[in-house]
Amino acid sequence: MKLKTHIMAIVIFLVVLLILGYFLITPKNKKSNQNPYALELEKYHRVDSQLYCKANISSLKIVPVNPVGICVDACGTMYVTSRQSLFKLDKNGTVISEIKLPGNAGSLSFGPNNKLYVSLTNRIVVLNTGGKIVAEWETVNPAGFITSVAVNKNFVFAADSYTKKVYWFNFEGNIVKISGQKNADSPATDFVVPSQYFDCAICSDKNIWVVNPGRQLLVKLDSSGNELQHWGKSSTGPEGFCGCCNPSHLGVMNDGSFITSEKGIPRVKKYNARGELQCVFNLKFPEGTTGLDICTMGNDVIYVLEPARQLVHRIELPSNNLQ
Amino acid sequence: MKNKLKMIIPENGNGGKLNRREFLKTGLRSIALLSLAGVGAKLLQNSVSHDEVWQIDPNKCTQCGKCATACVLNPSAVKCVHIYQMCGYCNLCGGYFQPSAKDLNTAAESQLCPTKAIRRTFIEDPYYQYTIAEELCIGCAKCVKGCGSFGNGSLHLQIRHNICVRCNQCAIAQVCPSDAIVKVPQSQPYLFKTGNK
Repeated sequence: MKLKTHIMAIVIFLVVLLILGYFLITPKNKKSNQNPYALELEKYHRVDSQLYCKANISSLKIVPVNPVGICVDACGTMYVTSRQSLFKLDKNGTVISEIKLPGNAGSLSFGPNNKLYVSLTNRIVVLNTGGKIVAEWETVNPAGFITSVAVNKNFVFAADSYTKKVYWFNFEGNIVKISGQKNADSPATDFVVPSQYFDCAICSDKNIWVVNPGRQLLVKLDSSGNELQHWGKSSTGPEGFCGCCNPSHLGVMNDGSFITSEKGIPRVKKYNARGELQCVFNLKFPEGTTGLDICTMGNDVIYVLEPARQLVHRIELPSNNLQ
Repeated sequence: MKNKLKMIIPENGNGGKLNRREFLKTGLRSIALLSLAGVGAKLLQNSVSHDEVWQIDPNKCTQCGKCATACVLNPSAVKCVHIYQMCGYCNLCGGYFQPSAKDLNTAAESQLCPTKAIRRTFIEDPYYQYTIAEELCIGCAKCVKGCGSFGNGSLHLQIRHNICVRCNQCAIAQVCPSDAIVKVPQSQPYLFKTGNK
C-alpha cells in the first residue's frame, strides 16, 4: 500500500516536472503568427508577365564581397569595385586581377581616352589600362560622397550625394561647372537626394542624364548645364518609381532608351527614349535588395550588379529589339 | 574502511544499508532539490537584473508586429523613435505614406500608420519633417518597415523606459522571432541605429 503511494507520488512529481519543463525549458515558440499590422510589399513586387522584357538573362556569381559598381569594356571584361579594390573579371566571372586602391571604391566609368575613372568616397582616381593610378584629383568636399561617375568627350561628371551637386571636371581634374543649384525656373535640377543613391549617365548625344531621386525624375542637361528635358513619376506600379530615393541607378542605351533600377520594390525596367515604360526584366530579387548598379553596352547588352548575393546579371536583348 | 563508511552514511539501524523507503525518500528529495535548482537557474537567467533594462536591437528587428500585441501594457511600451540625422526629410516618405497613396497629403487614407501617430510638417520645398506622437504610437513597426524599405531607415522601435514596467521576463522577448529584445546596461538604455541605407 505504502509502495503504491510512493509510486503515485513519484508519478505526480514527474508530471509536474514535465509541465514545468515544457514552460520553462523548451525553446520559445518562434512560429510567428499573423501580423495584424503587416506592411505587405509582396503584392507590389508582382509584375504582369505580359510586361516582361524579351531577353536572355544569365547570372554569374562573383568573388568580390560587397561590390558597389560595375563597368564592362568592349571585350566583355568586367570591372567591379569592392571595398578598397578594383577587380578585373573575365566573361565567366573569374578574377583576372585585383588592383588595390587608396580608399573605398564606388562608382566607375571608362573615358574616351581608355582611362578608367573611379570614385573613392569624396575624390576621383584615374587609372590607365594597366591598372596603374595616373592621377588622383582633389576632393570635391571633405564630407562628400561621390555616388556616380560618368564621362563624355569633354567632361568627367561626379554626382555627390552629400552636397547634392553634380561636379563637372575637365580632364586635368579641375572643376569647371557645378549643377544642382536652386533654380525656380527649373525645379527638376534642384537635386533632392535623401540617401546615398544619386546616379548619372551619358547618353548617345553625349549629354548627361541625372537622376533626381527625391523627385523621382530623370533630368537631361545640355553642355552648359541647363535643363533640356525631364521625365518620371512616382508610382508603385511598374510605370513609375516608388519611394523617396528612386530610381537608384540608371543606364542609357545607344538608342536613347533607359534602364533603371529601384530599391524598396527592387526591379529593373526599360523605358524608351520618351520615358515610356517598355518592359520589366524578369529578375527576382529578395526583399530589401539595394544597390543594383547598371552598366549598358550598345543597344542590346545590360549588366546588373546585385551586391547582396554577389551576382552579376547579364541581360541580352534581341538584336531587332522593338520593345 | 568500515569506520570511514560510517562517517559518510548516517547510521540507520540497518548496518549502513538503505531500505526501500529511505531510498525512495532520498531519491525524491534529490530530484526535488535538483528541479528547484534548475527552475531557479532558468528564472534567474531570464530575468533582468537591477542594473539592466530590456531594449530592442534595431539591427535584429524584423518588424513582425509582436511589440504591439505581446507587451503586458496596452498600448505597448514600445514606441517608434526617429533618428533625424538619418532622415532624408522626403516629400514622399515611405514611413508616412501608404505605398499606393494617390496624393501626398495628410489625408487619413494616405497614411500608413494605423493610429495616425506620425505628424508631417512642411519645412521648405520639397522637404518635410516627420514627428512621432508617442502617446498615439502602439509600436506596430509598420512605419519602420516602410521607412527601411523605401527610405533611409531613420525610424525604428525602442522600448520607452518611462513606460516599461520592467517585467522579469519581458513578454515581447518571449515571442520575438528574431531575438531582438536584449538586456542592456541601465546606463546606456537605448540602442539607436546609425549609418545610411
